[in-house]
Order: sequence, then structure tokens, then C-alpha cells
Amino acid sequence: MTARLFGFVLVTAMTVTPTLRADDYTLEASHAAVTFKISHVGLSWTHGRFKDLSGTFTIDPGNPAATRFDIAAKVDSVDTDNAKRDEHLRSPDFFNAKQYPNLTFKSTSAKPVKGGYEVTGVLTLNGMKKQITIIVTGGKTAEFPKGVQRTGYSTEFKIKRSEFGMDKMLEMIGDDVFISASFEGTRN
Amino acid sequence: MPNPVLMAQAIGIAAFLAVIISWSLGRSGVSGGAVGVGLGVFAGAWVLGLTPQVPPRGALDRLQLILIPAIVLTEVVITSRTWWVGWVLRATVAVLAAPLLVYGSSYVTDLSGPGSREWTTGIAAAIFTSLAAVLMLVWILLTQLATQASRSATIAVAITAAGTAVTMMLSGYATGGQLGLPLAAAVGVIAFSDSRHASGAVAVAIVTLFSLLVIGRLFAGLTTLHAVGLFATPLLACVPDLPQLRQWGPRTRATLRVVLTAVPVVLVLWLAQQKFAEDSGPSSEGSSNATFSDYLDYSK
Repeated sequence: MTARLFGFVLVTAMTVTPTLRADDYTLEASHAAVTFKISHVGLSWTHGRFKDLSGTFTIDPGNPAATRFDIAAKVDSVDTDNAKRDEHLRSPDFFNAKQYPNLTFKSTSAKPVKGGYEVTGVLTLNGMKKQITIIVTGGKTAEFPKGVQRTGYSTEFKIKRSEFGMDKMLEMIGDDVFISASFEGTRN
Repeated sequence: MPNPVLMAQAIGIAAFLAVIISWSLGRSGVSGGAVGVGLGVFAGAWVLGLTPQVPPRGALDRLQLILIPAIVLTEVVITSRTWWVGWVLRATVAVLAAPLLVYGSSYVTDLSGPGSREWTTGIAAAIFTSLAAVLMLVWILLTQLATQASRSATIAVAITAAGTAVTMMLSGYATGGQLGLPLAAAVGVIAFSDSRHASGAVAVAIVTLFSLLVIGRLFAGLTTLHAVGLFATPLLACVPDLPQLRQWGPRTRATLRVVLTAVPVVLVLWLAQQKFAEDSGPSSEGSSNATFSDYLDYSK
């Protein structure tokens, strides 16, 4: 009798309690942006973006440690609205796009914080890897268009380009690069 | 941006080392010109902050760490071995030069997933074969010329190296292009040193020049037209040695060699400057857009 009662309670609990399952998302490039700004001669900020983005991410509310982000940008797609400057940015003076064509962030751990996650991962830039920790906020969900579940996140962080081997022209073009990323993903 | 003081220092130290080393090795039978130019380029790179990283991370690192030592060693061996050993070594360097420079790049490696390399195996083989053949041709003709007309041949190569440096700086590789300046200085001063050093100096300079142009074309914004034009330019120094012109005096032919080289280099520089101005956006009188000279003057 006790065993039957226990089984009933267990089945009822499993049925009634909402399931917190992991959802896999594919980054939607048309609603994603990775932009940056960098100081020019200490006078103003030059803004740029990467036009070619891709990635996947997994959100697991029940097990935040399983949440992961895997985002990539083709450095060849850098765009600062000046063809000559973009050409220079692709050269070995900066991104060395033909030698190291991808900029990637792969998370290694995540823990929930207010409004999102604190994500630690490896940023690969100019062929050099460095562990960074960023705060990713967002997580609202929507069904748009009908039948397509989506969510979105945003983050802002700063890196020193010299730590990634991009150490040319530091006297004119700042070492600190402020990066802003915002992206939506559609659930697989 | 390019610092003119550093560039002047790099030119000075490269020229100084090339002269001192070629003079020091002059009586030993070792190719002082090759060693002098090689070390001059290294010293210039050090002054310019272009010291290669170990292990090499890019084409410019591989040029300095592998290719230049290999060609210097080849030229040193050539002076102490039979001629065919030297040419086998030179051919080996010529064949390996381009693949070494593009090693690990998106041209020949699937860096963005399977099948993402830009050149198929067949295309890569054709490009490498063509580049090796062109390098070998220019190398043979210029070193041959350097044994007959050492001064004008080395000056012609030095002019081309200087032109290559500025053209590359105008073509989106502001720092890497500067390596052409110590190269030009090192090979240029050999022109006024013992003529026995000219052949080795020209050999090192031609391979370095070739490498810079390949790097500029494949990794930066140097156009094919400018790259081919610059590498072909020193060949014009061979024109005064055509049978029809041989009756001209040696001084006239030497002057002609320098002029025939300088004119196309100036033309390529002018074209590169025009392209730089066009790509940098609208430029009118009173425009606030920075010019190349603005960047040169910035650190003064």
C-alpha cells in the first residue's frame, strides 16, 4: 500500500511539475550583431561590425551549468564604412584574415545571474586563445513567426587587442576594444 | 602608423651592417653580400618592431625565421661548392618559398570547416609551380647580371625593394611593407662595396622581394598588377645587355639599367597612391581626410 501511494505521488509530481528542459538554438544572422568601437588618436571612437555571423547556443534553465554559447564571426566581413581601413584591418597588421579567418567565442561554463548568465569561455582572435568572463543578459522568449520559438541575449565587454597579438600602431589606435554583441536564436 | 624616425634608423642600421659584414667576410671566400643583406634585414626588422615571433604565426615570421636564413645559407654554400650543388639548393628554395609563405592559411587549409580552403590541390600546385618558375627565372637573370654589372644590378634591385616597401604600405600593410626599406638599404650599399658580394646580395634580395610581394598580394591589399609589375621591374635592368645595345659604353648601359628600373617603379607607386586615395574616400582640396604623408608625419 505504501509503495503504491509512493508511486502515485511520484507520477503525479512528474506530471504536474513544469519541465525545465534544455533548448538548442541556432543563431539567426539577420537578428544578430557583433559591433566594436576603438579609440582613434584618443580623440574619437571608430565603430565597426562583423557582417558574417554564425553560432549555436543551448539554454538549460534546469541545469544552468549546461547552458553554452558558441558564436563565430568571419573577420573578413569586418566593416567600418571605409574600404581602405577595412582592407588594412584584414591585413596581418590587425586580424590577418587569411591566416586566422575566424573570431570565435566558445563558452566553458555558465552560472545564472540576475537577468541572464555569467559566462566564462574562450575567445579566439588572431589565432590566439584567451579565457574571458562576460555577463550575458536577456532570455525572453517569443514565437515569431508562428511556430518558430526564439530567444535573444546581449552582452558588452572589453578586451585588450595586444593580448591577442594585435599590437601594431598602439600609439594611434587604442589597445582597448569595446565589443557589443546582441543576437537572437531560433529553437531547433 | 609608420614612424619615419624608426624607418630611417632601420635603413641606417641595415646599410651599416651590410657594409661591415660584407667587408669583414670579403677575404674569407664566404658570400659577404648574402650574409650582410640577411643580417641587415633582421636588424632593420628589429628596429621597426617586426621581430619574428617564435614559433612563427604568420607569413612575415616564416620569411624571417626560415626563408631568409635558408637563402643566406644557400649562397654561403654556393661559394664553397660546385656550381650544380648551388643551383639545386636555389631551386629547392624557389620551390618551397611560396608554399612556406601560405602555409596554414585559408588558401590551403580548411580553417572554416571542411572544404573551405580557397585553392583546390590542383590550383595550389599550379600557382606554386608558376611562382617557383618566375622566382627562379628572375633569380638566375639577376644574379647573372650582378656578376657582370654588379653596381647597376644591385641598385636596380634596391630601387625595386624601396618601391615595394612604399607600395605595400599604401596597399593595406603599413608595417610589413616597411621591411622593404632595410632590404633596399642593405642591397643598395653593396653596390658601392666589393663587386664579388653583389651576386649573393642580389640573390637574398630577390627572394625577400618575392616573398614580400606574395605576402602583400595574398595577405594584404596589394593588387596582382602592382605585384607582378614590381617583381618584373628588375628584369628591365637586363635590357642594355641585349646584343643590339652592347656596343654602347658601360657607363651608358649602367645608367640605362637604373633608369629602366626606376621608371616603372615610380609608375607603380603613382598607381598605388591613386588607389589609396580612391579607396580612402572622397578627397578634395581642404578635405580633412588624412593622406599617407599625414600618417608619416604623425609621430614627428
